[in-house]
Amino acid sequence: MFKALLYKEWIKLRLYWSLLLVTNLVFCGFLCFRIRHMYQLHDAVMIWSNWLSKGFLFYRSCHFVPLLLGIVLGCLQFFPEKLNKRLRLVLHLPLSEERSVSVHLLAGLLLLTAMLVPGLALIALTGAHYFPPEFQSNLWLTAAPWLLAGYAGYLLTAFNVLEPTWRLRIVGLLFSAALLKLFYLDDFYNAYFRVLSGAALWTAGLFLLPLLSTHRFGKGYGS
Amino acid sequence: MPPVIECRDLTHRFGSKPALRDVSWQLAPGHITGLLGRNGAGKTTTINILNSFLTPTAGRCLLLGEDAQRLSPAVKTRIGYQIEGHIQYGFLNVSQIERFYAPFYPRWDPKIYYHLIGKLDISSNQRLATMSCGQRSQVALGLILAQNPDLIIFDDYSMGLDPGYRRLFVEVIRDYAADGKRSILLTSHIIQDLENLIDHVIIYQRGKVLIDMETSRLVAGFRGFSFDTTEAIRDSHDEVRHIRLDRGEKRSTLYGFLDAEQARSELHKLQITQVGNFRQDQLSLEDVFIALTGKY
Repeated sequence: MFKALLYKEWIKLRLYWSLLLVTNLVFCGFLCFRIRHMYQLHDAVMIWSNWLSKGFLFYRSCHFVPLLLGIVLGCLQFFPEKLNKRLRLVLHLPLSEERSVSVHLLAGLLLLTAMLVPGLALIALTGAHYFPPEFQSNLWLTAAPWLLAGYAGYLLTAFNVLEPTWRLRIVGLLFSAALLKLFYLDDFYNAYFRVLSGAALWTAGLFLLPLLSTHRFGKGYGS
Repeated sequence: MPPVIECRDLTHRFGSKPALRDVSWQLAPGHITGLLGRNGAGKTTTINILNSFLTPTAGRCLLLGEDAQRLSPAVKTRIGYQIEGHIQYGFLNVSQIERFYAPFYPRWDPKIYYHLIGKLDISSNQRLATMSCGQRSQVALGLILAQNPDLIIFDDYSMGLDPGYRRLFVEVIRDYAADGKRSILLTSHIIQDLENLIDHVIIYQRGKVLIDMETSRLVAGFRGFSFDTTEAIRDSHDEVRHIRLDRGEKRSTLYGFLDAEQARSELHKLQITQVGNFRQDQLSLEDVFIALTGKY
């Protein structure tokens, strides 16, 4: 049954997922070319010291990309379910409501991960060629909150799209904007190092919100 | 045998507006029952409660012995449900959607589904989104019948269907239920299609049960008597006794569970003494429905 739900989600999203994957690879490829270009023009030690002393992040221009990918994927996955109240088909399946919605969310999170990983691998490979290991871990820890924002963005989009009433959806949108802003308060190196595990837990907790929306839909709110 | 559906004192309000008021009825196993009513009578509200997409303000519904609000997965496998408008997943094609639903239902029979699909001019890789409403309705119907459910609920099955597809739909349902083991509840606004299909009828009027009886008894017992219109005739309606006087330009009609003698007596009570060309009219189920619920 779980395989069947994953199959349905894959058929629904495979084209959009491929396009988003290519978009992400284009952004990551752009970053890799940028690194290569800088190393062709300048000395490596000068680049690192300059970046660290001035707090320059070469990937700052792409820090919203995971968030945008998460939001777009959430919309593409759940708008078709809300159209004509198609979600009723899922809720009528002989599965508990929580299980069937959880499988949908896990499918989305899996696809988001599969979308982000190739781009990250490309950057990691390029970084391994140009940066020392300490600097690389610095870069990943600095980028980690923005990756988490992608997952939070996806779960919050699912919550808002599935929410059956406009009143709570508006509250949800304001809450989502405020919460997502927390991932972008500072962008200097290792800015979120101390709160990273807390942010990860917060993001994991957001999984419950789309379940709440679906439960409310199932109980007839907004009918 | 216990009823397959039992609604007890069902009440529902949307804000302060009552949609259902103390509705109680049962659906016996092996019957095809039509849930009929004018727009806003409460049919879809009832269907939504039955499918636990709405929590009633008061009362409860039991489906196959379980509370509709807390159906177990095991009971859900025994209930087929067609959503109003034949809603399905438009991004899946004919064979993909069969592959998707099959693992959920232990009694799934793909032959039933593909037999129905075989009647349509569609290929197995055609997406549902590219089909006509009639074709989509048959795919949705095939998916329900392939589940081999004990109970099927069709919410406004005739919506958007041309006469050919409506006829096909009725024939398929009738054949499927011919063994007398399946129970079917359906709603529709095309009542003429239902006359030879449903064996039990429940009619709602403004959120209440107006009629709950066998179709044959209703059509045989509810009669219309027409006569020449005179000045003395005015429209009237006794909702409790289901008697309606309908004034026409040239001919007026008295409807009710009446024989000719009782009809004359009713007219007399209404102080209509001159009754010219008095005769009994042949009523269809649709005529009976309109006579009971009114035109306005």
